[in-house]
Amino acid sequence: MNAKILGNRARASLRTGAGGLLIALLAATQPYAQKADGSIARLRSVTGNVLISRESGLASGDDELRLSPGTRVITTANSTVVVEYDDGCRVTLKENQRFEVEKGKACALLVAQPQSILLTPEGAAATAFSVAAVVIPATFGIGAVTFLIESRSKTTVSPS
Amino acid sequence: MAAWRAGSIALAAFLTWRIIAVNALLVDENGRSKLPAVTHAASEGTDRQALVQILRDDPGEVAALLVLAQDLERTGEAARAARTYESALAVAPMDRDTLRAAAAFALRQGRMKEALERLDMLATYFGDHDTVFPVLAQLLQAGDPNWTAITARGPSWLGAFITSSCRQGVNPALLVALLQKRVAARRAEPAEVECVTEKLRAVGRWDAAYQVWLNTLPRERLADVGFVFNGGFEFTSSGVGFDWRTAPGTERETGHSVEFALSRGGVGKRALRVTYNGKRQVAAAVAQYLALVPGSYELHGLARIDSLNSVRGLQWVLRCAAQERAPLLASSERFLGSSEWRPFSFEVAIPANCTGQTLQLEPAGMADGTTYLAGTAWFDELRLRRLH
Repeated sequence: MNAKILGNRARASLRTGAGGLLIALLAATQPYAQKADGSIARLRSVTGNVLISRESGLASGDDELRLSPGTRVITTANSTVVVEYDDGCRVTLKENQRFEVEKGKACALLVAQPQSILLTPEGAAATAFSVAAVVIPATFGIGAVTFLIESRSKTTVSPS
Repeated sequence: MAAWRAGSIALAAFLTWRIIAVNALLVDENGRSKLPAVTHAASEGTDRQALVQILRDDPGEVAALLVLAQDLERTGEAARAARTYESALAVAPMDRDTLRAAAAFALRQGRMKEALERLDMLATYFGDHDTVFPVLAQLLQAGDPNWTAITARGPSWLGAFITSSCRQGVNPALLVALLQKRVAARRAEPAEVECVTEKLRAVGRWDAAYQVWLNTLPRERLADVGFVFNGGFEFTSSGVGFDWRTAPGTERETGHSVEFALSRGGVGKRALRVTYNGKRQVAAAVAQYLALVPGSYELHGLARIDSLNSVRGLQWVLRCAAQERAPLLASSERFLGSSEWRPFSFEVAIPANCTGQTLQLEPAGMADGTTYLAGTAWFDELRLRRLH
């Protein structure tokens, strides 16, 4: 009887243990561990001016600031930051980029997420119409002519 | 000797006529270049000999060098022409006409590095903005790599170039890179920032416009940008970008005056005070562009009204400025009569297709008919809060 009870307890204990282990494993494989305040990432390596969206608009963000899903991170000129997720995923933002903290996305996708807000000079030139030949103002080419007529009446021409 | 001089002048006049004729070939009736259009006429040996003689007599005769260079170019001897222009520049490196002629030659020959160097000098030392800037703008739009050197050098004319090109309709995205350099060097003028942000807004790039403006703000102002910038009216408005802006004109013209005045009872030291003088109102007294992402928000603030007389009153309105005719998104209660400081609020939903908005204080029903206002209205601590 005792042996049977002990056996049942042992099986129950095993079941409980296995269940706990399963829960622990599931928790460990969740892409992002969420803190009690709902945050899942933080700012790291802030240089320059980095802004984050708050309930009442943009405000500056400092190192170690916790970030919740939906928060937008914006870098200004000459500024960089790393958004470090609690699972270790690190997203680097260069200057003039924005990034929205999202939950449940693979790290590879997040890393590719930052968007440049301003066009780079190269990109902007590519979007501009191309100029086949530079249009030279008419006044350019005949400047020397005017110069010639004026200077011929003078004796010398020297660097001014 | 006099005969020789008279002959030289006659020759110069003849060559002048020919150069004008060549330029007529190069430039069409709209001032557009028809490059490459340098004709390969037969060499005028006699003229050339006369020029050479002039130069033998006076090697520093820049005028002769320039005429010779243009003649060499016309007859297809580009390499010799280039050397002759270089000689002219060596003799008169700071002469405006020599620089102009050499720049024009370099442009015609596609020698862009040289062309840009000479255009840079013309703009720097002679202020030839009207003629030089359009050419520089074309090179910028064509993505000429030599522009990088100019940007790195940060010449004194760069700000004027940004403003001028912006007003002339050059792609504002191209000017942003130049402006950013000016901002980083703390040399950007409000006119540059205002024009570039205005043009970016006009082409629907509200996010870029907002970013350009953000980059101009000093660090201390970035601590709390908010959705409404300077909603406490504690700082003087720059009137640029996404800061507060007031209706242009004097009080006599607008019928009102706007001040960020010392106040009692509001929050902080100052508040917005708008005084209406009883005249007809035709525009919002104060406005601010916003770049809210789509979603639901609540605007709240404080108001104090002092003997405000009007049929319909005064109200804060939020419009979608990114859309044609700026449709109304939301408006506050109407302020009228008198009251002590009191809170007010209203909700606003920003639709997905509205990337830019304006928040402005305007007489209620201004679009419906003539509106007169008299009295004073105070506002403070305007804030937009995102609703979840």
